Amino acid sequence: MSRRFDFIASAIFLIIGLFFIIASQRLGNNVIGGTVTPATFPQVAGIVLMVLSVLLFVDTIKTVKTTEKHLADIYYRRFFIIVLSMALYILLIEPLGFVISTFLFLLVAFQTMHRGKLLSSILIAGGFSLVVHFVFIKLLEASVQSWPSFIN
Amino acid sequence: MSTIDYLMQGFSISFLWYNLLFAFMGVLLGTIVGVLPGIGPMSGVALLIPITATITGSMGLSNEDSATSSIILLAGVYYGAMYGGSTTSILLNTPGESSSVVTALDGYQMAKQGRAGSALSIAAIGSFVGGIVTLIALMFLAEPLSRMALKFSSVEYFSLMVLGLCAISGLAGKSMVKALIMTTLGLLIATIGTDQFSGVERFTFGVLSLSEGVAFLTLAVGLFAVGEVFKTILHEDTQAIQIAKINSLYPSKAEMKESIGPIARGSILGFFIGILPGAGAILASFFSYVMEKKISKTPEKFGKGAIAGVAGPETANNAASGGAMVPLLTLGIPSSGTAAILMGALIMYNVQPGPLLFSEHPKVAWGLIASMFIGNVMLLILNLPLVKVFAKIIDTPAKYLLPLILSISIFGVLSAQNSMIDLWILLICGALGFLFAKHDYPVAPLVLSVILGPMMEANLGRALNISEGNWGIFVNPTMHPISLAFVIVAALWLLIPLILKMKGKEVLVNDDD
Repeated sequence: MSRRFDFIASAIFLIIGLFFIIASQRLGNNVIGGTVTPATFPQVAGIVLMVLSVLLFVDTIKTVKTTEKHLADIYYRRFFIIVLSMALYILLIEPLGFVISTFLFLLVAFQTMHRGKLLSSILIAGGFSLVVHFVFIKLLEASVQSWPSFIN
Repeated sequence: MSTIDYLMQGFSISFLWYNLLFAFMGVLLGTIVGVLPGIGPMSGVALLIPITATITGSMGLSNEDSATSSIILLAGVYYGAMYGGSTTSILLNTPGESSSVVTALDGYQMAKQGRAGSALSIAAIGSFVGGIVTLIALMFLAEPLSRMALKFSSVEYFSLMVLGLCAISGLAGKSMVKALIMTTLGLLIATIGTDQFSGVERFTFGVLSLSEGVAFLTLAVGLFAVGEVFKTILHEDTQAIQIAKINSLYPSKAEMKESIGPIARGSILGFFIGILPGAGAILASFFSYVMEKKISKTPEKFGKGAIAGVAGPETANNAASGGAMVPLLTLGIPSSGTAAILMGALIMYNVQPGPLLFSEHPKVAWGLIASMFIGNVMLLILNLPLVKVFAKIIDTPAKYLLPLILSISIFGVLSAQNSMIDLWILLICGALGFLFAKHDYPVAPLVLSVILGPMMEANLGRALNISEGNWGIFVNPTMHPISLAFVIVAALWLLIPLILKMKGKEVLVNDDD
């Protein structure tokens, strides 16, 4: 838990609350008559969120500063590589199809988690993507594209 | 038809070959989820929703039958995880999920003394008894509770939901303000999409796939499964662990005798705590431990391998997961994060949990109840002989497990939602889930309020239309006394922990379940 995060979070929540209140204003005019409009609920929740974010801000001021345990850089490196490769995975899943993109993602992720044993990484990554392809996409007809569109 | 007739009908559904298979797969996967430290019951259930949807979809079942089969599997994962969690607590002193934390206190001590077998079998027997007792209670409470809930108007319903949300927020996480923020954020997320009454699009920014709202499944898988993986990646590697030896698998007569009381008390305590919104399996197991220690003639033995310290909490946490089904099935109010995800799964099949469930979808309700009987028997049979195999699962290298979970998440969301936007939302939710968990913002209240949000809004709308915009209707003692009572209890739920905290007392919190 870090104070800085809580300060930033309380500001963001305040803005989110405000945003919902302002963006709802427009909605209220669309309905004529009736006491409840599409704006009522988000506006009330938005106000509550704003009040709570002020409370969070006050709470955070009161908390004593704590020192955070610092992790070795290697863990951050592997975290960012995996998040980044997941983003690439999502980008490539349509053009390359499920099997190839999954294989590539898993191979990179396995090796990022722990270098070495390349052969077992290849076997597990390949095995998993093929099992999902045969069992879920072929047999159970899940609506996911297995191969690149130029192969089909 | 009487309760017994309905139950028999339920059994005839759950004895269908594929439902038996679903129950078996559920409890097996649940046990594995419970054993694996990186993945909790909430992630497990969320991950399996799209997988079960794919399987039931390809079998060509009707919508109601698909819902029944899915919920049989998913509920199996829920209570299976409660079983599995105890195995690693006892053998390795590392609880697989948070409700087994107390079990480790005495269970691991017993294992060190060479009594691992007794501890494991008592945990299994206790879980079984707890599960069965709560099922019987659920059976007999379900109908009268549903009938009572049917008398509720939108006013009572809205207040009841407020109570549910306050209760979850009051007990979740270390800071109540943070929990309440997450709850409110969930309510706001729930408003994204087409408004159910006016048909007006809200907060979609013209993005077409947002007009149906943010998909609950994407949100749950992202916040829980992907978030948990991200969190674990940043954790330092676990060292190789020594598994305690299992000599005899069965407890001695004296140990059995010593456990009868704790198991009986744990069943009842667990059931009632499970019904309470917000107080989940972890509180049940904790209270049971404290109670057993207080009652015991030899409290000094606790923490040094007292079998009552395993029997009570293990019974109670399983009983609580059964108890959580009561408000879910009869009122449509989930009392824990996992129950909220189960509810989300039912809604995906257009089956609305709540008082009408038993009359509109008796197949789903009674099929589930009957299958839980069968599932508990399966677990008992499965767990004792296979306990060594399950203990080995914890050795699964994180190197392979974590990326595989990410891949399953992507596949699941893609096959269920069929949209690329959902994959990006999944990734963002994963990152948020990780950040939230790291800074003590509990995620379960957010998911719960995303589920309850649309219903709350609908009931609020109806109630305010009746009262012509007067918000006092919710606290009107003559016209809506029950609603007033709900509001008062909700306020107390938030105020009492605050007052206790101000007095310097430590308040027990529910991390996740």
